[in-house]
Amino acid sequence: MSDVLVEVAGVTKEYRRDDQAITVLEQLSLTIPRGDFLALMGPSGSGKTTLLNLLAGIDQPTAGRITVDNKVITGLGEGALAKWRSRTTGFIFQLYNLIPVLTAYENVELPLLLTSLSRAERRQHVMHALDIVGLADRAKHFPRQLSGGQEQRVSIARAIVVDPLLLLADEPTGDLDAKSAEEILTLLQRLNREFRKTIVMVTHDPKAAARASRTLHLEKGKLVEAAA
Amino acid sequence: MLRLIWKNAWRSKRRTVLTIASVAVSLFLLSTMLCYLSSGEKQLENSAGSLRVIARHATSLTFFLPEAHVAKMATVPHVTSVQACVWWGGQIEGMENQIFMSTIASDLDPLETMWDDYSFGPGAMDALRGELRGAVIAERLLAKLKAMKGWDIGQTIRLHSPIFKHDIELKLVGTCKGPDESILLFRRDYLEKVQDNPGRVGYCWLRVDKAENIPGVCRDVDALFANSDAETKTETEKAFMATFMSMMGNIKDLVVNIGLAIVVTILLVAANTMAMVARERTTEHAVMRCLGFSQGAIAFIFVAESVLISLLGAAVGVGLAAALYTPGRYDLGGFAPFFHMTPATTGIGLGIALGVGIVAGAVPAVAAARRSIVDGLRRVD
Ligand SMILES: Nc1ncnc2c1ncn2[C@@H]1O[C@H](COP(=O)(O)OP(=O)(O)O)[C@@H](O)[C@H]1O
Ligand SMILES: [Mg+2]
Repeated sequence: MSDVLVEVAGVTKEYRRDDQAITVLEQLSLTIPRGDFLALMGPSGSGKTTLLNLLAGIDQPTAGRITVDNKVITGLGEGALAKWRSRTTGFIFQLYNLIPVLTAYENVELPLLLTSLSRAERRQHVMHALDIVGLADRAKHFPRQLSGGQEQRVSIARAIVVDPLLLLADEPTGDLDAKSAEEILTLLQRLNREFRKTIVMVTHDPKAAARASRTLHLEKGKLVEAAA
Repeated sequence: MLRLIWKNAWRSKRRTVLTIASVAVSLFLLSTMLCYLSSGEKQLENSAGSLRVIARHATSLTFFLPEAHVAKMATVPHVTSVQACVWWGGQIEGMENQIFMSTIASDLDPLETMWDDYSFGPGAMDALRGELRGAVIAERLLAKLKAMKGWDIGQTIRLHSPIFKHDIELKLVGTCKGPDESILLFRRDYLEKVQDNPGRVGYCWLRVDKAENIPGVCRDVDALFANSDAETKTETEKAFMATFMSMMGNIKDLVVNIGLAIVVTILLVAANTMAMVARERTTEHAVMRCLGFSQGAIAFIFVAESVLISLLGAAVGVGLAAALYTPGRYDLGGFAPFFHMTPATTGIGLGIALGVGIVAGAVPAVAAARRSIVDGLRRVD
């Protein structure tokens, strides 16, 4: 087992609008070791979300190659990618994106419906994940009955319930007050240290970035390393 | 997964209830029409396998045949009996539009062998032979008249006929039971007497010995009277029923077309709802795919929701029809004796709902599944 989890090799991403091609990422290369907690910073529109989407396997690069856990995901078909996503990545959104008609429990259970686990086994996993984020007592609550910070914790539980190799978070504290943001960052840090999760977190907030083990700056589609 | 589908369906309660209600109303109407159609079909079917053929005036049912024809018909090979009848068209004063009666004056002797698919009440035939004014009435018709007018066996009743413009007095002497549940049968010799012996016959039923001889008998009878004053047209009971029913107003095509229009309407309503739903769920579909749900899974969940909604509509609409249209409850005054829900009509209603659900859900489902995840996530609403 190699120490490198993610290998981004010469990745370019262009968007075509009418006749004009906009290059969002240009010849970008990056290695993420297992157990890393990487913060991605950069001005708005610099391509942070785009890079994260490529790592999550929900978007394809125009050129270059992305390897995760020794598997080249670039060029995989949509069906194979969906399967890969369900086992390998956990995604945390800025706006939580919980399903409003499902309880916290059911939201967390959602990715497990794609596995062959029995109901009882699923229950075990869901309660464990909710326990880690400290919301086991809110299992029966609906998203609208939770605060923003709590919703984000449920969404983190949903992201970790399948025990993925790679956690991807796009401005997870961007919509939260300072105290909730602190809690979320502490939680992510704990997931990294205690559960050895590899995390890539996009953020605008230097304080958030400071919680990561290292920070990369993205500027005009190119990476600039900065001291952690 | 089922939970998600169920809960999704009830996100916008008002919209879902309205959609279910419109599907329900449409399918109720559709069931009504299917009942009407299947009632007609059943009537035809009942007459399909019979060994009876009917001979009438070649020009029209409204022309009479001379009585002398009857004996001649009996001489045609393979004809085992002949029954001369007159469609008298009796009506009850003041209830012309509520009660439909097949009021027929008939010869008595061939009756029981000719109509072996009917059973006559105990002593009914003897009573009819013994009473010139006697009449035998279908059980169902009697039950109805009992409820509406208090009539029962033994009662003398007075009817008028819009065809013959005269009244007649009949005494109910017995009952019968068979496919036509609006039968009121009385003696043709009595009608002859009332009308001063005109020697007129409306039409004749002929019983043929074997089914394979039916076409030959039809040909031979018509040939027998060719170039006479009253040429005949002889056809099978089924063919005759079809002509008769089309005389009563051929609205079958109309009913079928309205039915199709209803199906298209439900489809539009359901498709519109599902298109709205798909638009609202764009972000959610992207999120679910991000979690690893495949395009197929997203489309399936969506179509399942659509099917669920239209089947709920069908359960209400078809269910109501099934509860309401029980055998014998609404028979259009006896004209449509088989007007009720059958497993087939129920099945068609549910089948249409299933089809509508799939079609209405499929187009937005495929569009939703095809949409790029990144676009779905970027959409802010
Ligand atoms: N689907 C798209 N079509 C065209 N341009 C896009 C599309 N998605 C993103 N972009 C452009 O790519 C650039 C980078 O976007 P993004 O990765 O979201 O930046 P960040 O997350 O760093 O703010 C922006 O200029 C954006 O307008
Ligand atoms: Mg972004």
